[in-house]
Amino acid sequence: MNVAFDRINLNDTIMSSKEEEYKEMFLSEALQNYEQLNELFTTLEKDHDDSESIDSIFRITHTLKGNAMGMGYEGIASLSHVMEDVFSEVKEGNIKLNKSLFDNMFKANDKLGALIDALTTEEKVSYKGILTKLNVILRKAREKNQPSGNSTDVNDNKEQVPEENIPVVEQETTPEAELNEVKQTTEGVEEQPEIIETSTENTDEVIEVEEEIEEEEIEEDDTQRKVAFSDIVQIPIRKLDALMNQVEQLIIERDRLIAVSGRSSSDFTSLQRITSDLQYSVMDVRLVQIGFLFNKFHRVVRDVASIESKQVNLVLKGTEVEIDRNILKIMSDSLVHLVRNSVSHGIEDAQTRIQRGKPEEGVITLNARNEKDNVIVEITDDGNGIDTEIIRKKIVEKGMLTKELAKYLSSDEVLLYIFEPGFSNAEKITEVSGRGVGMDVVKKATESIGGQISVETEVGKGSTIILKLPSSMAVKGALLFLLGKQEFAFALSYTEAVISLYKYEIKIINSGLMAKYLDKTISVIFLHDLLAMKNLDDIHNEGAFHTTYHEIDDNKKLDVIVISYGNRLIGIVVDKLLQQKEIVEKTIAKPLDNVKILTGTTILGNGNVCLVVDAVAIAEILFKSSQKSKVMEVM
Amino acid sequence: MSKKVLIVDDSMYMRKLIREALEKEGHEIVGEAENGEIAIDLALSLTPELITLDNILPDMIGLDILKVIKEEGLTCRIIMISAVGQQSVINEGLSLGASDYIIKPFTSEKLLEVVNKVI
Repeated sequence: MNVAFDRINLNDTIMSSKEEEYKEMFLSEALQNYEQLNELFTTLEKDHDDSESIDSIFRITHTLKGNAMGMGYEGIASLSHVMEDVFSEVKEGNIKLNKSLFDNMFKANDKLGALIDALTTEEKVSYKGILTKLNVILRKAREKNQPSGNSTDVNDNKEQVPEENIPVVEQETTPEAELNEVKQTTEGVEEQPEIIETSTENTDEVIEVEEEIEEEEIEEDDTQRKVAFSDIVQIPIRKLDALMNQVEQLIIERDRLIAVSGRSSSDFTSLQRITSDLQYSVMDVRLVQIGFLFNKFHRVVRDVASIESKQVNLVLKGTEVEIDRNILKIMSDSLVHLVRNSVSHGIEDAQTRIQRGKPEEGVITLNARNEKDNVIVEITDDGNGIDTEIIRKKIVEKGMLTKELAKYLSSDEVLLYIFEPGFSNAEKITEVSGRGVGMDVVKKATESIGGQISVETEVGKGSTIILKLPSSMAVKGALLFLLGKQEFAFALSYTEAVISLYKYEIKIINSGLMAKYLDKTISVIFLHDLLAMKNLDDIHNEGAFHTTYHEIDDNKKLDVIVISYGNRLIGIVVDKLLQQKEIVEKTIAKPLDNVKILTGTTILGNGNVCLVVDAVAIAEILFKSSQKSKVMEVM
Repeated sequence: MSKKVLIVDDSMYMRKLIREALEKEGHEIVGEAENGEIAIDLALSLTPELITLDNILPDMIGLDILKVIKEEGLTCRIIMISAVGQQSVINEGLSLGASDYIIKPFTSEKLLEVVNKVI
């Protein structure tokens, strides 16, 4: 999908904000082009006869060239131009597709991506090398095709970087392409096209649509007159962020007004419905299909597999599942890391696979599906699997636990250690892994958005990394409760159940507390004890978790929130449960931002500030403390 | 006077030979390129004062590089290194702005003689 804005006449009369907007549009489309090219090259490398891909590459590089020329981005223009020309020769059959050509095209596309990025970062990108190399390939192909030509002339292939914004049709292109060129020159002169224009009043402004190639095949006579409107509008994400922010404030204000009005909330039913609908509509606009990211992994897998000489097929499932664009952005590096890991450490080389009775070609599956308000992303490989005994040894070797203690960990607990900082199961640092992003960083990123990560594995069969991500970031379900007079909240994504326990059902075990829940023994903690600590090191003090327990009557009925984190259930005793509510969480401002067990705050309808408690942090505190008590047991 | 030099040659042996000869004279070798693509990127990023440019490279010929360097407005001296019987290439190189040329095989004395002439 491609809203091509026509030639832009960048003269001084255009306000700089307009210029910024054009640039933003260019960037977003150029990045899209770059991604599409990556995907197409990967597809074409697998099937050299895929003429549809060849046509698409030709068309996309052509579009990108035109846009870049319009913006005066010479590097992008010249590089996409030469790529277009190479594929023009490929179409004609004058250049053969082979590994070396693909290596060059991938490299050129990488430079293209770097040049596009550089528009924002202003970094210097060296691209002339590959540019010249492609020009030489082109020249050789043309020489071969025109044996009468003068073969030592290096001048003829270099006038391809036009100095003006007026496109020069200097070699054979397809009829559609030529039409495009003509159209651009004729229309570009006086137009200052609005990029996002949903209003029909501005019919004199041109928004050209290139939905599919077929749509370009318009009657020649029509092309000069036809004004096509896209059904799709591209909007810079910052505008959506601002809109979301305003809706959030509206909701807080709504709750405040309802609270101070002193009237029954049923009087506000329709206001509540409308604002909720508005909120969900805005959230919905921010959703993108996860396939948008998944499709980039063909290239990632191709590169890693090529470096390691492995055969790997990538299978994508659930690409239509929708997720908030910002969540996808935060998770994209992590997903790249996980996929690289799967190829590098998961999939075996062909020989080993044959010995193990597996097909030579390994399979990595990326699967997305909705589960309640979450999106579950699974990265599965049919490779080595993770040997928990090796991990157990590593835990000891790295000095993370003593040998005695490591013995006590269950296999599931052992696996959690691969997400610990400083833990890497890679036996050697390869070109692929060992790039700084470790599994601990992946875990941090996942948890920063309220998600969870886990792993399932079977030695010799393969592994699956499971990411449970919220589908939307802005609003989250939360469970509100009281502690003393202060309102607190837990994110629902970590809440398993709400139960009532009598004090006598809770037992002291070592330094902690335990209770039965659904036939399982779970750790229990009085949140009050934890929040009363001056210092988190106090958790190691004798009886630190028993204070409140000893103060209350045996028959007291307690409200307990059961949270689940990394295969563990923890019962958290609070003073009083309030309600389940959708909250808009704000990050914590200084100086509270380094309080470990809070993730953020929200403002309630009654105007009170409610603190959001970090379930992950509490689980980790308890985990550490229970390890310590295990040490004591062993000793 | 010491100069910043970029050596462009696909043969490691040749690069080593040129490097040692020039370093002995006190020149600083800022980079070595084994193909044209790297050569252009290094020439533009390192801005050497002198380039020794082999004409036959795996991905392009020296003239391609020469042309880009001139287009980019680099003022460095360029010595073309060419095999015998390529006078037409040498002539074209000189017309494109190369300072001088050396015919392979050559001695380090011959190399230094040409280098000293052009700098």
